[in-house]
Amino acid sequence: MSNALIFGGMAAISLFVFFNLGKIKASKNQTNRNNRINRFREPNQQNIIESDYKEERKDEE
Amino acid sequence: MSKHSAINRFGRSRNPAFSRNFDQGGFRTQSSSEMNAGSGFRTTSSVAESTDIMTLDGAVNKTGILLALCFTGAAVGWNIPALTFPAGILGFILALVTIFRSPSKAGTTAPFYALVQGVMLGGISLMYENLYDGIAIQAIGLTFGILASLLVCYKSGLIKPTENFRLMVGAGIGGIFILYMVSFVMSFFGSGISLLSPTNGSLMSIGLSLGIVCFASLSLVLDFDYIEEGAEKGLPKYMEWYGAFSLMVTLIWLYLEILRLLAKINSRR
Repeated sequence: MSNALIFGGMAAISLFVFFNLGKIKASKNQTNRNNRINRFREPNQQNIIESDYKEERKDEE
Repeated sequence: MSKHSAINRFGRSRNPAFSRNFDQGGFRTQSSSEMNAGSGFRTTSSVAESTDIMTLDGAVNKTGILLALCFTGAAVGWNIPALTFPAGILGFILALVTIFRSPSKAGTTAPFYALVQGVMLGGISLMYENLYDGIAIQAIGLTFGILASLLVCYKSGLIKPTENFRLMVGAGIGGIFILYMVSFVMSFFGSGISLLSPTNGSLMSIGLSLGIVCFASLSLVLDFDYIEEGAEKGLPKYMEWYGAFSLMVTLIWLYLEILRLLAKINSRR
Protein backbone atom coordinates (compact mmCIF):
# COMPACT_ATOMS: atom_id res chain seq x y z
CA MET A 1 0.00 0.00 0.00
CA SER A 2 2.79 2.43 0.96
CA ASN A 3 4.56 1.41 -2.27
CA ALA A 4 1.54 2.51 -4.32
CA LEU A 5 1.22 5.75 -2.34
CA ILE A 6 4.87 6.73 -2.70
CA PHE A 7 5.24 5.92 -6.39
CA GLY A 8 1.71 7.09 -7.26
CA GLY A 9 2.40 10.39 -5.52
CA MET A 10 5.72 10.67 -7.32
CA ALA A 11 3.95 10.14 -10.68
CA ALA A 12 1.27 12.73 -9.83
CA ILE A 13 3.81 15.38 -8.74
CA SER A 14 5.96 14.68 -11.81
CA LEU A 15 2.98 15.06 -14.14
CA PHE A 16 2.06 18.33 -12.40
CA VAL A 17 5.63 19.60 -12.95
CA PHE A 18 5.56 18.46 -16.60
CA PHE A 19 2.25 20.16 -17.43
CA ASN A 20 3.31 23.42 -15.79
CA LEU A 21 6.98 23.65 -16.65
CA GLY A 22 6.51 22.24 -20.16
CA LYS A 23 4.54 25.33 -21.20
CA ILE A 24 7.27 27.72 -20.11
CA LYS A 25 9.98 28.67 -22.59
CA ALA A 26 13.45 27.31 -21.83
CA SER A 27 15.97 29.65 -20.21
CA LYS A 28 18.20 31.89 -22.35
CA ASN A 29 21.08 29.79 -21.15
CA GLN A 30 19.52 26.96 -23.19
CA THR A 31 18.19 28.82 -26.25
CA ASN A 32 20.90 31.45 -26.86
CA ARG A 33 23.95 29.37 -27.67
CA ASN A 34 25.94 28.71 -30.82
CA ASN A 35 26.11 24.92 -30.58
CA ARG A 36 22.35 24.29 -30.72
CA ILE A 37 21.06 21.50 -32.93
CA ASN A 38 19.75 23.05 -36.14
CA ARG A 39 17.09 20.56 -37.21
CA PHE A 40 15.03 22.86 -39.39
CA ARG A 41 17.79 24.29 -41.52
CA GLU A 42 17.30 27.85 -42.67
CA PRO A 43 18.84 29.02 -45.96
CA ASN A 44 22.07 30.90 -45.43
CA GLN A 45 21.20 34.51 -46.21
CA GLN A 46 24.82 35.59 -46.55
CA ASN A 47 25.46 33.16 -49.41
CA ILE A 48 22.46 34.40 -51.39
CA ILE A 49 23.69 37.98 -51.17
CA GLU A 50 27.18 36.94 -52.25
CA SER A 51 25.88 35.07 -55.31
CA ASP A 52 23.73 38.04 -56.34
CA TYR A 53 26.74 40.31 -56.02
CA LYS A 54 28.82 38.11 -58.35
CA GLU A 55 26.03 38.02 -60.92
CA GLU A 56 25.88 41.79 -61.00
CA ARG A 57 29.63 42.04 -61.46
CA LYS A 58 29.41 39.68 -64.45
CA ASP A 59 26.82 41.99 -66.04
CA GLU A 60 29.10 44.96 -65.62
CA GLU A 61 31.92 43.15 -67.45
CA MET B 1 20.23 40.34 -65.45
CA SER B 2 17.51 40.03 -62.85
CA LYS B 3 18.43 39.36 -59.24
CA HIS B 4 15.92 36.49 -59.34
CA SER B 5 17.59 34.78 -62.26
CA ALA B 6 17.11 31.31 -60.70
CA ILE B 7 13.34 31.81 -60.57
CA ASN B 8 13.33 33.15 -64.12
CA ARG B 9 15.41 30.25 -65.38
CA PHE B 10 13.84 27.33 -63.52
CA GLY B 11 10.44 28.65 -62.55
CA ARG B 12 8.92 28.76 -59.05
CA SER B 13 9.08 25.51 -57.09
CA ARG B 14 5.88 23.44 -56.98
CA ASN B 15 6.96 21.86 -53.70
CA PRO B 16 4.04 22.55 -51.31
CA ALA B 17 6.44 22.91 -48.38
CA PHE B 18 8.22 25.78 -50.12
CA SER B 19 5.05 27.38 -51.37
CA ARG B 20 3.74 27.35 -47.79
CA ASN B 21 6.94 29.01 -46.62
CA PHE B 22 7.21 31.81 -49.07
CA ASP B 23 3.85 32.34 -50.66
CA GLN B 24 1.16 31.86 -48.07
CA GLY B 25 2.52 33.50 -44.99
CA GLY B 26 5.00 30.82 -44.00
CA PHE B 27 5.29 28.81 -40.85
CA ARG B 28 5.60 31.82 -38.61
CA THR B 29 3.30 34.79 -38.71
CA GLN B 30 4.36 36.90 -35.77
CA SER B 31 5.06 40.60 -35.47
CA SER B 32 7.63 42.08 -37.82
CA SER B 33 10.11 42.77 -35.01
CA GLU B 34 10.56 39.04 -34.50
CA MET B 35 10.89 38.23 -38.15
CA ASN B 36 14.08 37.34 -39.86
CA ALA B 37 14.00 38.32 -43.49
CA GLY B 38 15.15 35.58 -45.85
CA SER B 39 14.65 32.81 -43.33
CA GLY B 40 12.98 29.68 -44.62
CA PHE B 41 10.60 29.45 -41.72
CA ARG B 42 9.50 33.04 -41.28
CA THR B 43 7.69 35.38 -43.56
CA THR B 44 8.71 38.84 -44.56
CA SER B 45 5.18 40.24 -44.40
CA SER B 46 3.77 41.62 -41.16
CA VAL B 47 0.81 39.26 -40.91
CA ALA B 48 -1.09 39.24 -37.64
CA GLU B 49 -0.32 36.43 -35.23
CA SER B 50 -1.83 33.23 -36.52
CA THR B 51 -3.15 30.24 -34.61
CA ASP B 52 -1.76 27.85 -37.23
CA ILE B 53 1.71 27.57 -35.74
CA MET B 54 3.20 25.15 -33.24
CA THR B 55 3.30 26.29 -29.61
CA LEU B 56 4.69 24.81 -26.39
CA ASP B 57 1.21 24.96 -24.83
CA GLY B 58 -0.28 22.99 -27.69
CA ALA B 59 2.43 20.32 -27.65
CA VAL B 60 2.14 19.82 -23.87
CA ASN B 61 -1.68 19.68 -24.00
CA LYS B 62 -1.54 17.14 -26.80
CA THR B 63 0.93 15.05 -24.82
CA GLY B 64 -1.65 15.13 -22.01
CA ILE B 65 -4.35 13.89 -24.39
CA LEU B 66 -2.09 11.07 -25.61
CA LEU B 67 -1.22 10.10 -22.02
CA ALA B 68 -4.92 9.99 -21.09
CA LEU B 69 -5.62 7.78 -24.11
CA CYS B 70 -2.68 5.55 -23.18
CA PHE B 71 -4.01 5.09 -19.63
CA THR B 72 -7.48 4.31 -21.04
CA GLY B 73 -5.96 1.69 -23.33
CA ALA B 74 -3.92 0.29 -20.43
CA ALA B 75 -7.11 -0.25 -18.43
CA VAL B 76 -8.49 -2.28 -21.36
CA GLY B 77 -5.25 -4.26 -21.81
CA TRP B 78 -5.06 -4.97 -18.07
CA ASN B 79 -8.54 -6.54 -18.16
CA ILE B 80 -8.18 -8.28 -21.56
CA PRO B 81 -4.55 -9.53 -21.74
CA ALA B 82 -5.25 -11.46 -24.96
CA LEU B 83 -5.13 -8.14 -26.83
CA THR B 84 -1.50 -7.47 -25.85
CA PHE B 85 0.26 -9.02 -28.85
CA PRO B 86 -2.11 -7.74 -31.61
CA ALA B 87 -2.05 -4.27 -30.01
CA GLY B 88 1.75 -4.32 -30.02
CA ILE B 89 1.88 -5.17 -33.74
CA LEU B 90 -0.75 -2.54 -34.60
CA GLY B 91 1.05 0.08 -32.52
CA PHE B 92 4.33 -0.66 -34.30
CA ILE B 93 2.64 -0.27 -37.72
CA LEU B 94 0.98 3.00 -36.64
CA ALA B 95 4.33 4.33 -35.41
CA LEU B 96 5.99 3.50 -38.75
CA VAL B 97 3.13 5.14 -40.67
CA THR B 98 3.34 8.29 -38.55
CA ILE B 99 7.12 8.59 -38.82
CA PHE B 100 7.72 7.63 -42.45
CA ARG B 101 4.46 8.19 -44.32
CA SER B 102 2.57 11.11 -42.90
CA PRO B 103 3.90 13.26 -40.07
CA SER B 104 1.27 15.80 -41.16
CA LYS B 105 -1.44 13.27 -40.28
CA ALA B 106 -0.02 12.74 -36.79
CA GLY B 107 -3.18 14.33 -35.41
CA THR B 108 -5.09 11.26 -36.60
CA THR B 109 -2.55 8.48 -36.13
CA ALA B 110 -0.98 9.56 -32.81
CA PRO B 111 -4.17 9.18 -30.69
CA PHE B 112 -4.74 5.69 -32.17
CA TYR B 113 -1.10 4.88 -31.51
CA ALA B 114 -1.38 6.00 -27.86
CA LEU B 115 -4.60 4.02 -27.33
CA VAL B 116 -3.26 0.84 -28.93
CA GLN B 117 0.11 1.04 -27.18
CA GLY B 118 -1.78 1.59 -23.94
CA VAL B 119 -3.56 -1.75 -24.49
CA MET B 120 -0.18 -3.41 -25.01
CA LEU B 121 1.34 -1.74 -21.93
CA GLY B 122 -1.66 -2.81 -19.83
CA GLY B 123 -1.16 -6.46 -20.80
CA ILE B 124 2.62 -6.37 -20.27
CA SER B 125 2.23 -4.58 -16.92
CA LEU B 126 -0.20 -7.28 -15.76
CA MET B 127 2.30 -9.95 -16.76
CA TYR B 128 5.08 -8.31 -14.71
CA GLU B 129 2.65 -7.59 -11.85
CA ASN B 130 1.86 -11.29 -11.63
CA LEU B 131 5.59 -11.98 -11.25
CA TYR B 132 6.41 -9.18 -8.79
CA ASP B 133 3.66 -7.43 -6.87
CA GLY B 134 3.64 -3.61 -7.10
CA ILE B 135 6.20 -3.40 -9.92
CA ALA B 136 3.91 -1.52 -12.36
CA ILE B 137 3.26 1.46 -10.08
CA GLN B 138 6.99 1.66 -9.32
CA ALA B 139 7.76 1.79 -13.05
CA ILE B 140 5.09 4.45 -13.63
CA GLY B 141 6.43 6.59 -10.79
CA LEU B 142 10.03 6.27 -11.99
CA THR B 143 9.11 7.00 -15.64
CA PHE B 144 7.28 10.22 -14.81
CA GLY B 145 9.94 11.10 -12.25
CA ILE B 146 12.63 10.89 -14.93
CA LEU B 147 10.41 12.89 -17.32
CA ALA B 148 9.94 15.74 -14.84
CA SER B 149 13.53 15.85 -13.60
CA LEU B 150 14.97 15.88 -17.11
CA LEU B 151 12.50 18.59 -18.14
CA VAL B 152 13.73 20.73 -15.22
CA CYS B 153 17.34 20.05 -16.27
CA TYR B 154 16.55 20.94 -19.89
CA LYS B 155 14.56 24.10 -19.20
CA SER B 156 17.17 25.43 -16.79
CA GLY B 157 19.97 24.75 -19.28
CA LEU B 158 21.70 22.19 -17.07
CA ILE B 159 21.66 19.68 -19.94
CA LYS B 160 22.46 21.23 -23.32
CA PRO B 161 21.71 19.05 -26.34
CA THR B 162 24.27 19.65 -29.10
CA GLU B 163 25.04 17.91 -32.39
CA ASN B 164 27.58 15.69 -30.58
CA PHE B 165 24.99 14.85 -27.92
CA ARG B 166 22.54 13.85 -30.64
CA LEU B 167 25.19 11.75 -32.38
CA MET B 168 26.04 9.98 -29.13
CA VAL B 169 22.39 9.22 -28.30
CA GLY B 170 21.69 8.20 -31.92
CA ALA B 171 24.65 5.81 -31.96
CA GLY B 172 23.60 4.30 -28.63
CA ILE B 173 19.99 3.83 -29.76
CA GLY B 174 21.26 2.28 -33.02
CA GLY B 175 23.31 -0.24 -31.05
CA ILE B 176 20.37 -1.08 -28.79
CA PHE B 177 18.13 -1.51 -31.84
CA ILE B 178 20.61 -4.00 -33.37
CA LEU B 179 20.67 -5.89 -30.05
CA TYR B 180 16.85 -6.06 -30.03
CA MET B 181 16.78 -7.26 -33.64
CA VAL B 182 19.38 -10.00 -33.02
CA SER B 183 17.44 -11.14 -29.96
CA PHE B 184 14.18 -11.09 -31.98
CA VAL B 185 15.65 -13.19 -34.81
CA MET B 186 17.27 -15.61 -32.34
CA SER B 187 13.90 -16.10 -30.62
CA PHE B 188 12.66 -17.84 -33.80
CA PHE B 189 15.31 -20.52 -33.26
CA GLY B 190 14.31 -21.15 -29.67
CA SER B 191 17.04 -19.06 -28.08
CA GLY B 192 17.67 -15.39 -27.36
CA ILE B 193 20.06 -13.01 -25.68
CA SER B 194 19.87 -13.98 -22.03
CA LEU B 195 21.09 -10.53 -20.97
CA LEU B 196 17.75 -9.10 -22.14
CA SER B 197 15.68 -11.63 -20.19
CA PRO B 198 13.71 -10.02 -17.33
CA THR B 199 14.44 -13.03 -15.14
CA ASN B 200 18.23 -12.68 -15.55
CA GLY B 201 19.39 -10.96 -12.36
CA SER B 202 23.13 -10.96 -13.11
CA LEU B 203 25.04 -7.69 -12.62
CA MET B 204 25.94 -7.65 -16.32
CA SER B 205 22.27 -7.89 -17.29
CA ILE B 206 21.22 -5.19 -14.81
CA GLY B 207 24.05 -2.97 -16.07
CA LEU B 208 22.83 -3.39 -19.65
CA SER B 209 19.26 -2.47 -18.65
CA LEU B 210 20.56 0.54 -16.74
CA GLY B 211 22.45 1.66 -19.85
CA ILE B 212 19.34 1.28 -22.01
CA VAL B 213 17.29 3.29 -19.47
CA CYS B 214 19.98 6.02 -19.61
CA PHE B 215 19.79 6.24 -23.42
CA ALA B 216 15.97 6.25 -23.36
CA SER B 217 16.09 9.06 -20.78
CA LEU B 218 18.58 11.09 -22.82
CA SER B 219 16.40 10.79 -25.90
CA LEU B 220 13.69 12.55 -23.85
CA VAL B 221 15.99 15.58 -23.80
CA LEU B 222 16.18 15.47 -27.61
CA ASP B 223 12.36 15.37 -27.73
CA PHE B 224 12.13 18.43 -25.45
CA ASP B 225 14.61 20.25 -27.67
CA TYR B 226 12.70 19.24 -30.81
CA ILE B 227 9.45 20.67 -29.40
CA GLU B 228 11.17 23.82 -28.12
CA GLU B 229 12.89 24.47 -31.46
CA GLY B 230 9.75 23.67 -33.42
CA ALA B 231 7.77 26.21 -31.40
CA GLU B 232 10.54 28.81 -31.83
CA LYS B 233 10.69 28.32 -35.58
CA GLY B 234 6.90 28.43 -35.85
CA LEU B 235 6.39 25.04 -37.49
CA PRO B 236 2.86 24.12 -38.67
CA LYS B 237 0.24 23.25 -36.06
CA TYR B 238 0.27 19.52 -36.85
CA MET B 239 3.86 19.35 -35.57
CA GLU B 240 2.42 19.71 -32.05
CA TRP B 241 0.91 16.25 -32.54
CA TYR B 242 4.13 14.97 -34.00
CA GLY B 243 6.16 16.34 -31.07
CA ALA B 244 3.70 14.83 -28.58
CA PHE B 245 3.86 11.54 -30.51
CA SER B 246 7.67 11.43 -30.37
CA LEU B 247 7.54 12.10 -26.63
CA MET B 248 5.03 9.25 -26.22
CA VAL B 249 7.24 6.83 -28.18
CA THR B 250 10.17 7.61 -25.88
CA LEU B 251 8.03 7.43 -22.72
CA ILE B 252 6.62 4.02 -23.69
CA TRP B 253 10.12 2.70 -24.42
CA LEU B 254 11.41 4.13 -21.12
CA TYR B 255 8.51 2.58 -19.16
CA LEU B 256 9.10 -0.87 -20.69
CA GLU B 257 12.83 -0.71 -19.96
CA ILE B 258 12.25 0.41 -16.37
CA LEU B 259 9.80 -2.49 -15.94
CA ARG B 260 12.46 -4.89 -17.23
CA LEU B 261 15.15 -3.35 -15.01
CA LEU B 262 12.94 -3.60 -11.89
CA ALA B 263 12.08 -7.21 -12.74
CA LYS B 264 15.80 -8.06 -13.00
CA ILE B 265 16.52 -6.39 -9.65
CA ASN B 266 13.56 -8.20 -8.04
CA SER B 267 14.73 -11.54 -9.42
CA ARG B 268 17.92 -11.26 -7.29
CA ARG B 269 15.90 -11.40 -4.04
